[in-house]
Amino acid sequence: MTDKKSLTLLQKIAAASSVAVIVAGIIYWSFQVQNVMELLEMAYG
Amino acid sequence: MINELLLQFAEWLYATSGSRAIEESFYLYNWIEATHVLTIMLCLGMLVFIDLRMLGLAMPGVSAVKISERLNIPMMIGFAIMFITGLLLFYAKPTYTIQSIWFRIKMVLLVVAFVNAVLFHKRMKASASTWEYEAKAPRHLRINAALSLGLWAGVVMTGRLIAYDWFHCYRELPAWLGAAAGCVAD
Amino acid sequence: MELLPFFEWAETSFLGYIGKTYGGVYATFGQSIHLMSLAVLGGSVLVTDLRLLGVIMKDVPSEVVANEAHKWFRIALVFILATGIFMAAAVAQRMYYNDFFWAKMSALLVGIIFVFAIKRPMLKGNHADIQPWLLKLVAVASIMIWFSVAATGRWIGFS
Repeated sequence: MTDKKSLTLLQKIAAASSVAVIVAGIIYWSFQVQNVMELLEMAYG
Repeated sequence: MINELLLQFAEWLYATSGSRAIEESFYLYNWIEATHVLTIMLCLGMLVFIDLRMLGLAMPGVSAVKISERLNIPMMIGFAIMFITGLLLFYAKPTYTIQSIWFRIKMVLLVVAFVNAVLFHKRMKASASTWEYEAKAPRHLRINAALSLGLWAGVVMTGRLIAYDWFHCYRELPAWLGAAAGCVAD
Repeated sequence: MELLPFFEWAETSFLGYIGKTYGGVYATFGQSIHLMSLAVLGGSVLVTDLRLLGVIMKDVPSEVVANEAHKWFRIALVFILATGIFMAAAVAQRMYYNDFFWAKMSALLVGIIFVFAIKRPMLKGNHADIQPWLLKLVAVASIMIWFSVAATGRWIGFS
């Protein structure tokens, strides 16, 4: 109970991997959306 | 007669500019379609857990009524999204879809699933306080829940099969099947 | 490692042969059951993660929700993998050259590792012992992963 504030190793890994996954996801999807927008601009100007 | 009217309506829809715009746009159509399919996770995902709870197969220790009431809102949000995107998909391909036997079966299943859901809700409300903390709902409600799972599985399958034209009017079809699919003699 | 021969072999395997030859089996046992499993898998992910985020079922202990949903997650995963392998075998060579297929496989691998090595072990104990922000962070990551798996999967068919 006293160490409720400090994270266990598993919780540290969980936090780090969650952040990594969220960042990767945002990058991947914004890249996809950007690709589509460029394509549409090429097609329709 | 009814098939002629439905086809006329579909042809009129097809000729509108909005319908042409959606079908001819690769991204617009596919994004609507993807949203329709992915929302299955929200709408049917919640529905599955409500039905599984009634059958005693998920969260048996939690009040069945509570589960049903809590999951109802996200389920209905999902349903609203599926309904709107579904309408748009029909709007984009009305003439093809109206003559799809799978689409027609899907609509029938949806109506039956709706009636089943209304019945389920009424029955649950009427007797909930006597059994809500039991692991399984009473038999008649379990039948509703099982039916619900089966009907929605049917909706998913027939929905997926709309993409296939195995029984479309330009194929060789037995007369009854042609009539059921809405084929009109030209 | 060269993977193309494996994909070529998959298409000639028994599974690949069935899926290629019988469109009806492919569409019903492959695609339709894949979608039904998606409903269960997505439902169990959303039930758990929306609970952890405090969006739904706030008056049901999150431990109960997470434990019960995980049982169905595993069942759905078995079905979705089985039907997924069946479908991929039938069109294996096309999959090999499809970017979204590889994006999906990567996201799926991350998802499976994330669930079984991180999320599940962490949620096994008492959730009161876990910082609330961490529970929410893991929930957002989980939704992001499984959304990506499903969305890239749907896009395989479009590209």
